[in-house]
Amino acid sequence: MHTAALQAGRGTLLFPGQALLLTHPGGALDGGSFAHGVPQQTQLSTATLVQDRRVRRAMLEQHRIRVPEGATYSIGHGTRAALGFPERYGFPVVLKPMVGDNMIETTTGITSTEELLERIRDLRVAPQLRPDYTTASYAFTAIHTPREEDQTRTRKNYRYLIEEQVRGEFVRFLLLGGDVVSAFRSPHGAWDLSGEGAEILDDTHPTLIRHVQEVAEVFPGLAVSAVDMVLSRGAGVPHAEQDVVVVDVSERPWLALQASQDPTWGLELARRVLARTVAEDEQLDEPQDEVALDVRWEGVSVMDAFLEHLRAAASRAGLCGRAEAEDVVGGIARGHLEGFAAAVALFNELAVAGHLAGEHLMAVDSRPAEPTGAGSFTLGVPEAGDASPAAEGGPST
Amino acid sequence: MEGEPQAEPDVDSELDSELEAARQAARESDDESEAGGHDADDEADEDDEAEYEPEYDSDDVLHQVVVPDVPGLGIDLSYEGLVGAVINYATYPTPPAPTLDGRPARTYDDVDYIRPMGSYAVHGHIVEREALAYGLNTRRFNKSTFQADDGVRPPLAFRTARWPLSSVVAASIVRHKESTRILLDRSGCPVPRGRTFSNGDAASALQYAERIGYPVVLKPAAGSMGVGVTANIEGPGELRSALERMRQSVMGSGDFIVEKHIHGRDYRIMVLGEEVVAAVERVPASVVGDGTSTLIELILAKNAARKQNSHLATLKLKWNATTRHEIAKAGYEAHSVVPAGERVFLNSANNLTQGGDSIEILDDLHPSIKEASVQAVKAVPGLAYCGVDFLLEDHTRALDEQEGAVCELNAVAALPVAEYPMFGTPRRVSSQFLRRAAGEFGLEVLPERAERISVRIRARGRVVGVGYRGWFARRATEFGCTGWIRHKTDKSVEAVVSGPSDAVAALATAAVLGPRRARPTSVTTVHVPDPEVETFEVRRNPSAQGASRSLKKRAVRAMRNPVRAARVLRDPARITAAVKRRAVRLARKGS
Repeated sequence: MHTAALQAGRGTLLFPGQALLLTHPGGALDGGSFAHGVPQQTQLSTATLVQDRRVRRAMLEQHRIRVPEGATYSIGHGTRAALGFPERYGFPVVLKPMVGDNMIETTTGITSTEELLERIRDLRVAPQLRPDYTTASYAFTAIHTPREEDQTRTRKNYRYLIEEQVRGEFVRFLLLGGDVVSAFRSPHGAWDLSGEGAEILDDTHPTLIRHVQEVAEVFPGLAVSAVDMVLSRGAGVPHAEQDVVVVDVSERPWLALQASQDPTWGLELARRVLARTVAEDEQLDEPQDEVALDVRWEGVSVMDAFLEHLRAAASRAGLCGRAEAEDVVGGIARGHLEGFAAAVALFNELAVAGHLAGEHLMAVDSRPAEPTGAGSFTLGVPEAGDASPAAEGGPST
Repeated sequence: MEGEPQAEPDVDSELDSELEAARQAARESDDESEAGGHDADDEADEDDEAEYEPEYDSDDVLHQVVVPDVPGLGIDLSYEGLVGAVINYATYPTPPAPTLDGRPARTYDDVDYIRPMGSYAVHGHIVEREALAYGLNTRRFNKSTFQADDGVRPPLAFRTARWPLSSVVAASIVRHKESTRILLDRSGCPVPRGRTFSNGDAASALQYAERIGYPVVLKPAAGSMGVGVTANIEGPGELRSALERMRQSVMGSGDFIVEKHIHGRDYRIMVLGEEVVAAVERVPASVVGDGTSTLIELILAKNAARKQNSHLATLKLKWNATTRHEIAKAGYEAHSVVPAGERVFLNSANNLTQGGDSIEILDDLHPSIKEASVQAVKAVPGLAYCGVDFLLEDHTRALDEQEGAVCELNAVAALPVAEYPMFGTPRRVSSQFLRRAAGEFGLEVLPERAERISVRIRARGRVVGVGYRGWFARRATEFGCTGWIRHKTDKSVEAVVSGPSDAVAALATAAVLGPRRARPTSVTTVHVPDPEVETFEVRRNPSAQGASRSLKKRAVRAMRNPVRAARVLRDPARITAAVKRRAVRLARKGS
């Protein structure tokens, strides 16, 4: 989404939690914004409701939409009962936290009681202490920290969901404002970024498309949604002639799946989401692959180290331009970046996430600028009068 | 007995017993699984009011009786042990209510409807209450989440203070303190100067503190509820010590914030759209002496008074290490008599969860502060409802005449804070909240709030055979409602209830909780004509009874044949297992 915005000539203001605000020239916020790729039009209440899998299942079942057989159990007292679930429905089963981001921390293909027990034990570690734990920045946040400081155990009221693992063709449908804009067959499921999937919207039976829309109508208030289905006979077969099971619904677009097979198609979908997000009377510029931006990085802790990291990362990403300290004590650096929009977007996303220079930035403000024709990335001289030792030494140029 | 041949092991019987064991396992699974309204909301919300996990303090010792070596009856009551218990029991004689400027603490008529739901449920209940009172139907999934609709347009979702007019992006931004500060600063709102530093970067923090000037506050970037915060740091030496303490604590591995310390009182200003709809000053837990009562007696009296508050009823003053530390600082102990009019603070945090008081002060709030609050909310795109946390010296004075700053925004600020203040004017924010959302999405609501309503409540999930009807009927009768409740043939429960809006709405919310063994998964509440009955009764459903008998006969017949039994249980996995087991036994027998 970030790439699409830069390509469309927009400035961006990026915050932690993948909060992306689009700006007009001069930095004025124009109303278009995203969090984790979710447009601002998505209602907070519905997004958090969808993240509660027990509620989501209940809502779908009330609309007579098939979901896998499943049940929730508490981490404190439910293990014995949870191990009885496969006795009723057989293996393999899927294990998911009851509340949390869809598709995250989901374990599929559990085929034995021992394995199920092992995975349940994994959940006994407090979420924040799990290596793969992550959550949306807008998510309903429970207190998941252990009850005592010296403990690592999840609180007893934490719940998880066990579902039967249904067999068939996995297809992710992407809906935009109620319209199905993508049907992506993914042979290895939700996290298959191998590129082996395929866009099959044109070959999908219309009754299935209608069914996907019915699923989306259960959750009014999602500007974008991803609906994961397992089809017993495939997307070309009418809905009435096969077993169609909704295995997940997410408020996030998760475009990485489509982009893994065809980056151009992924970007095109992002553009469509972007066009629906900005004000109706605004036109997006024709997409430009390469961009030139003036950038301000806020929240820099160790300025000289940050600038050095920045230079190295820019070189690796094929970006040209410059960077310099604007206010060492205040933690602000500024600079100019030129290169592919995708590279610039990734560069700044990584900077905020702490993966670029070893520290989390607090904001990155990027505004379109005239290209300078720079052939490399250089570091400028800090402003005179800066008191920090790093500034006095001055980063190399 | 001789002559009586020993019975051959009966294969079918063995299989039956195995199936029975499987069924037992399945029943046990049922007992735990598919939890209904009880579960999801035991989790605590991120709201500053800390969406509570009610539990006893480790220091609370209930009913402790100390036997001292003194004449007389030889027993003495441990008042300290009663601090927690007083919330759960009646207090006689009723102690005098605490006062503020001569006004007694407020009490609320709906407290008996709300208290049985538990401390957290009030947050999700009050908006549904308004939805029903304004003629909307609801569908509830747990104690915090419900949808409201007018039967025509798509339903609106609510989860405590999350509503359809707030955007995910706004929630995402205000969750992060530094993002909020940057956006507020860009739009000219008063914010404390400050910034975030990477873990361990003490040198930069010290430089920065010199720039903004002392006193400063040090707090963990990822913290909440005041954990790990050191306020009013007067100089570099103190800051170094505070940084070292933080480094050695559990917060030591995270980023931290240094910001200017603002001297002032803590206010929660609630903004809906572009309107300030309530303002509450939050005061740390305290008691005021009367010249005769001991400190512990004053705490007991205050907890008894909080019991009459629909929001604060379970958020009691605590007797714990923090309290003992605070009163010791003031030179008191549990059995000290506090002089008349003297206020003794029991905690340094303002949180209502820690026993803090709420004082609603909207009528006295200076217009410049209202204006700044609205401006702060507008600075964050998509923030249609917000609690603006302001530090102010005096809320009646203009902002430019005092030191004041916005220290935080909260996209899911707890509505009951303004709705049930301890002192001041209660504001029905939930009513405005509901009507604004309905108006924005074109849902038809009644022009006036209905005082009495009649609804049909349908509860699904595990609600049969768990005492649900009796539980519901008792509660409905206690609440002064009329109507009836019965089973449906699809194992759901249906009730028609008529009565005061607040009571009926409380039943609708409570229906998703149910008695202990129930696990409702959803409750639908729809407006119906008044049933015009005088009492509330449990009705039998003849068709359900017939169905139940039929099922029993079917089960008895089915269990004679394991394969058929498995089929009756509609369980393909068990059918396979049963057939396999039978095949193995037959093979062993050589058949």
